[in-house]
Amino acid sequence: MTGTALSGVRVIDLAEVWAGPFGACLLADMGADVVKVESFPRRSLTRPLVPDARVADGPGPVYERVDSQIQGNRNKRHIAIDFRSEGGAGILRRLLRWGDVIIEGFAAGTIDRAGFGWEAVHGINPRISMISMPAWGVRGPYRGYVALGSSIDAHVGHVSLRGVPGGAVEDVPGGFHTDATSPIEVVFAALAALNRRERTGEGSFIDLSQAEGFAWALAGSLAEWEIAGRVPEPLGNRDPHVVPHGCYPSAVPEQWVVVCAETDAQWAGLAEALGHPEWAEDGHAWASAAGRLRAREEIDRAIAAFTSARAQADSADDLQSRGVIAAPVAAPSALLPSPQLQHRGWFQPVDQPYFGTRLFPGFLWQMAPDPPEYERPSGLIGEHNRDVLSGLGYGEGEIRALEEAYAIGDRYDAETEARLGA
Amino acid sequence: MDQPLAGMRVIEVGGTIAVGAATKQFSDFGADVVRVEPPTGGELRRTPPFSDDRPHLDTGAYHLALDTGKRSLVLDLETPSGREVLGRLCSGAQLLFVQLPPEQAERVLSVVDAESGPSTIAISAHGLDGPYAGRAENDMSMFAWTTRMYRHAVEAEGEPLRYAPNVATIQVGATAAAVGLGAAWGQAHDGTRRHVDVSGVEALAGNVDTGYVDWVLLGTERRARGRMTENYPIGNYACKDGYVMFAATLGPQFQRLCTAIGHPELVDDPRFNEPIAKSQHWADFMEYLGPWLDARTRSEVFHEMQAHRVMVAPVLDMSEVADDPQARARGSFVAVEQPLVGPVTIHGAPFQMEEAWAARPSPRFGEHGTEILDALGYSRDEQIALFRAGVTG
Repeated sequence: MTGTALSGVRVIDLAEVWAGPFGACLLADMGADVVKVESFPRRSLTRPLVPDARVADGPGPVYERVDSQIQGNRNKRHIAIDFRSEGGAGILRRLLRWGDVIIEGFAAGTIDRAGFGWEAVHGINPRISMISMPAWGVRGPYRGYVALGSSIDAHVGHVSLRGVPGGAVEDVPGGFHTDATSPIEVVFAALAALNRRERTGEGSFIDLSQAEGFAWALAGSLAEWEIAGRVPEPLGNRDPHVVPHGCYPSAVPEQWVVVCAETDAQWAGLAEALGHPEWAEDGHAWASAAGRLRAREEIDRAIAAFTSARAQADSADDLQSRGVIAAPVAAPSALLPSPQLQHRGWFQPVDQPYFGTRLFPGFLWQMAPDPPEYERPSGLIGEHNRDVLSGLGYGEGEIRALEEAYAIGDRYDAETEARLGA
Repeated sequence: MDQPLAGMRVIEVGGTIAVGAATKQFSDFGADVVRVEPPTGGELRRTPPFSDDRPHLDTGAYHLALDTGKRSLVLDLETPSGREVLGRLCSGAQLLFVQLPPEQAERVLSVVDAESGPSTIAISAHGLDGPYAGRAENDMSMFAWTTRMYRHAVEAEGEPLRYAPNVATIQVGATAAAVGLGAAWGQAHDGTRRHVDVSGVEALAGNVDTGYVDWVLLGTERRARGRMTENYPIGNYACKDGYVMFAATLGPQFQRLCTAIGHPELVDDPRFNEPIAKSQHWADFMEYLGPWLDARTRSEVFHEMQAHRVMVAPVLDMSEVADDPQARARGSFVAVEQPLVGPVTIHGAPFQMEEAWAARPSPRFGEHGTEILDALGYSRDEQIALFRAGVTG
């Protein structure tokens, strides 16, 4: 049993890859009944037939072992339909009458051409809300433009901020932060629409530009221009008004540790760890936050000498015991040994049919009295076709006819590929 | 206006950027948000930049951007008097967001009526319990724990980098907002008061872009590798007036790109038509792509490439984002008339829903003290007593 706060809320997830599907997961974690509608016989980008770098070892179909598919689809029921076919479109229409919220992430205009734009959806069920979430939204001159998360990161200004001072823009790697921010906005948007429907009885259309959903996190950097009149430059790990504020090497290559002292008390703890408590005593130039600003390089060298002689976790633990802000730059393998995450029971053992039980990252929040749980792992393709369709009123004969017509399916193979070609 | 959260009351405690980000979404979508301010003003009001570079509790960037439409009440919650006021405030509220060190948070949460009080959301770096619960963290050190920073660098095996300031922190706040709205929905429908514990590390490391799943399923720990010249074009490329970001490595994308630059024949060229050969001929390919880019502005590259459905976008800096044609057409930025500062351009709605979102000015420090205490039934003599005792501001 997972959370129950959203019991009775019905969600149709028509999105692919990460941003939309994971938003639907988060609603499911709170108890919403989410039906994931996968494309058939055309496959999603996260359902390859041939192994690539994202596919885990194991038996069974390649498309059931893809990390990017498995990450964003827990706690849902999965159906696979061809909604461009007559039979598939009929299923989607029944689903729309059943649902409270539909989430779709096609390029702007695509869903309208398939006959399921907002007006059509609203006509089928005036109480359902629809979230359309193309990169730059539905409206505007970039309507229909194609993007990945890195395109949005560039366009909202984040690429201009992520490098090191004076560094080359070519070296700034692509960033996919909107894959993390958009799902959160999907949840807020869906619930905002449900709240309004409580008063009006009507669903709402939500034009969720993934650019806008992320951009507001750059409030401080925008103000650097809008309020202070300066074009913000990349800061690296520095803070213009806090010394020390940096990332330092440890005794082990590629293991780094973050150290910051924002207050005099934190600085006193750091000075003590470095073996120079006098650096924090009255009269010493570095005892003052203003004085430390003038000695950034010298202080950074002293900290680097300390951290370079120790393992990253040892530095962080020692400094934290003295009240200093410090953390290892954790590689994925460093999360599992974290006593904190273990204490919190964060890791989730999840049994997937084709590669057994693995420890997955836990939930974004803990909730009492009804915590999120893995009620279902990521579903297999078409796993719940019968369950969902019979719930919508389809009889067994009708379901078999839909299968024979390739309007629904539960596998991708040469036969379905050939069908796609035709 | 038909604001979706009209009629909802939300209380925020702690004065941090994360808690301010959490309740901003409620305020702008119509809820009555009371910002209970620590007497120091807290992190959010003290974080730069400031108007004229003069530090002031009413002119900081995060305050102007994230406190929109809220009401401000200064209250010392380390005193029984302060907690009594908070208790009264909570009795009419649907949600209470708190970010404080664990012991202080527990004291604040204890004023909430266990049956009829609002659902509560505690924000912290590591959660309210466990061996790291008391650790001092900030935006960067929390981010360091999440596997993101490990993968973010400008050179292979180089120093890991944070994102832009407070991007991680605001993601934590937005996560708290989302689950908080879920808890409020639940309480309104099943009567169950919920408590939510949002650990920033868990909220970020558990999101879909976590590198941890790659490690679990594939045994890989990816780090940044600098410029990608094996599979291309991906990443930032110079053009006439700046840079554009490409994501056009995959088969159909690469094919359309070759067509867009007038060289459709390159798709069948043995130097580029299969992955291993392609990985050895980046410099050759740049002889075609480089001059094409040199002759065009970012905007020209963007629109010409998008006409061929190639994933490319201009790299904009913060002086350019609000003037972008798409942003202008959509109203992605709004100007808010702020007391003491004047009109300030801030980011607009995180999603667009008709008549749902509006940003109003941010409140001066303690602006609504009397108004709120009057409504809670405190007489003016009682208000003076609280003020004189240093509880209110």
